[in-house]
Amino acid sequence: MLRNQVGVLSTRNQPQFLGMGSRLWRKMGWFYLFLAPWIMGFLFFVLVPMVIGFLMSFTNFNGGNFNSIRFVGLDNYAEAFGEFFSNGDAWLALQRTLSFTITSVLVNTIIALSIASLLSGNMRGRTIFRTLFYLPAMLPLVASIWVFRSLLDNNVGALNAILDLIFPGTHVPWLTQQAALSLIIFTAWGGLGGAMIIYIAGIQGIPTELRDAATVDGASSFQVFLNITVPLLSPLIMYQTVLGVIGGVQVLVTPILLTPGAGGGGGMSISTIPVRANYMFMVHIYQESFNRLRFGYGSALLWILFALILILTLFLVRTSRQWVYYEVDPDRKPGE
Amino acid sequence: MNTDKFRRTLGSNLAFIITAIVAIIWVFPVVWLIISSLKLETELTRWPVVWFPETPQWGNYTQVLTDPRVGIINATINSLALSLMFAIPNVLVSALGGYAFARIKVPGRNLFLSLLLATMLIPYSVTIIPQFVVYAQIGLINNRLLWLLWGLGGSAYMIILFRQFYSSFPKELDEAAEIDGANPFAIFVRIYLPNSAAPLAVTFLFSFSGVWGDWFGQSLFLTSRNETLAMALATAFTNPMGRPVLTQTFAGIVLYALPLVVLYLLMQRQIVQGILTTGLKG
Repeated sequence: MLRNQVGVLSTRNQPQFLGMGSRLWRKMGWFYLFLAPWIMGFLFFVLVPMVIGFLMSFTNFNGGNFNSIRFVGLDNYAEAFGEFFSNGDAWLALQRTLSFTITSVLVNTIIALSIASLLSGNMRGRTIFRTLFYLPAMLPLVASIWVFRSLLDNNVGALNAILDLIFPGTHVPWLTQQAALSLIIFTAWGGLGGAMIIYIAGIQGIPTELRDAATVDGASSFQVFLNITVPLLSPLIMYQTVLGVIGGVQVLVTPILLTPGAGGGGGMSISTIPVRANYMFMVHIYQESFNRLRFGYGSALLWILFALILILTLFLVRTSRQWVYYEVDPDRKPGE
Repeated sequence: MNTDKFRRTLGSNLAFIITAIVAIIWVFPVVWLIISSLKLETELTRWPVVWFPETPQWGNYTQVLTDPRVGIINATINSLALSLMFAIPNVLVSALGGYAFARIKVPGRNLFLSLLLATMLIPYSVTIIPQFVVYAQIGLINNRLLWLLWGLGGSAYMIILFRQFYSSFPKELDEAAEIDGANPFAIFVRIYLPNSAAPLAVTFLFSFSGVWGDWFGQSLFLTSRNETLAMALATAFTNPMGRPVLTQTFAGIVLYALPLVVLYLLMQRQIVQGILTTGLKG
């Protein structure tokens, strides 16, 4: 108690502006000290690698020693854009990647919204259902991959066995001829849990009067879903779509592991080339960099991908004014 | 009135049935994994499919655990070491950063907050390949210290999560402690850290499972000398004749996934809260 009073007195006795100044400096010292680990991490694991990658994209670096590096100007970018105009690997891979991203974001959003809207009421066993839908998200990637390789196996897979009960003689080669579809199924399976949790919380934040009023007016549950739930959730859907697109265009590991091409063998290797239909843009970058040791060209492709991600994000944010409903209600307090 | 009630009951029953069917589809792969891990290899590779093993082959599990060629104990230790080396500093550093953003008001704070949010949009792929190139030059490949260094950098998502959490703490706590002569670090350690069990647990689980379940980073930056569970299980186990034994691989997969599933189930409530604060999905 005595110490407190002394402390208070001593600050009072200091000249006002000097005391404030040194206090601010001290606070800044603490702030930047506490943030120092993250700032260092950002510098060394994000900023410096990005700059190095950017510089690398103007060279012929082959992964060996730095002595043989030569500055090649815009050659790598010229080659990449040349591919885009001549139906080269990079261009085909980019098309596949975009088609995968759009389909998979659409499919994931529709499934997650539907399940969330079914589970946001007071259905029996809804907590158990939520856990079951989240279960796939708990599994490590390698685990899910093995499960789906076995389920979708052409000869002895469970999916073909189930289809065989309905359509005898079914042997759909899921992982090879239907590889693109398999990848979308796999992604939807693992992605439902997280998206569902976010959408359930969003739906529970919608005032019940709105839905009740519509029901009283004779709207069916589906109409309520389409005309009230979805528009009111559109900011959330927008945010999830942006994240989904950023993740989708970078898809790399799942195509390699789930649908390895010929020579992939039974195991999973980082240098495996997936079947043609799942040869995505990031896979191409990986192949160019690590297998063909063209790190310079790979870096140029990476920066094209980065630019594409920025453009897609900006596009989504800009067009969001047309389809996202931002609630303006001065009477509602935040958190209500 | 009666028909209205009937329609509602019918509707909610229909909703229940639809949800149940989708749930069965969603859980089926996991059930298939567990059942397959108890089959004989000949049962797994037969057509028409054998749905249930004649006798559950618990031996698959003992085989995986004891076969020296699999080396599952070593791989478990490696996975555990990487996960802890990453998760513990990551959680502490992120909590400290979140505390700074929530409680220390200084010029430049908003600038750094914007920078933090912007980094969340930077794709990992743009940084990972240059990192590999640099580490290859300075001998950090196949070095487990990398995970410690990555962990020490904290995570933007988790800093945001702690910032949200600490913003709701009463300011009077700090003021009282400050008058007692405690510096901000002491306040963080004595008051904030002990009162953040829930976000600490969630961020720990997310960071831990992020490394435990990661296969790409480990196969890119490590060689078989430091083989982890993800790396070991990515290749099918083989019998002495060199033929793949999928049933035993599946047994290994069940053991590999089990700790994460148990942790997630124990911490469901906090996880939901964590997901909602950050938009991060585990």
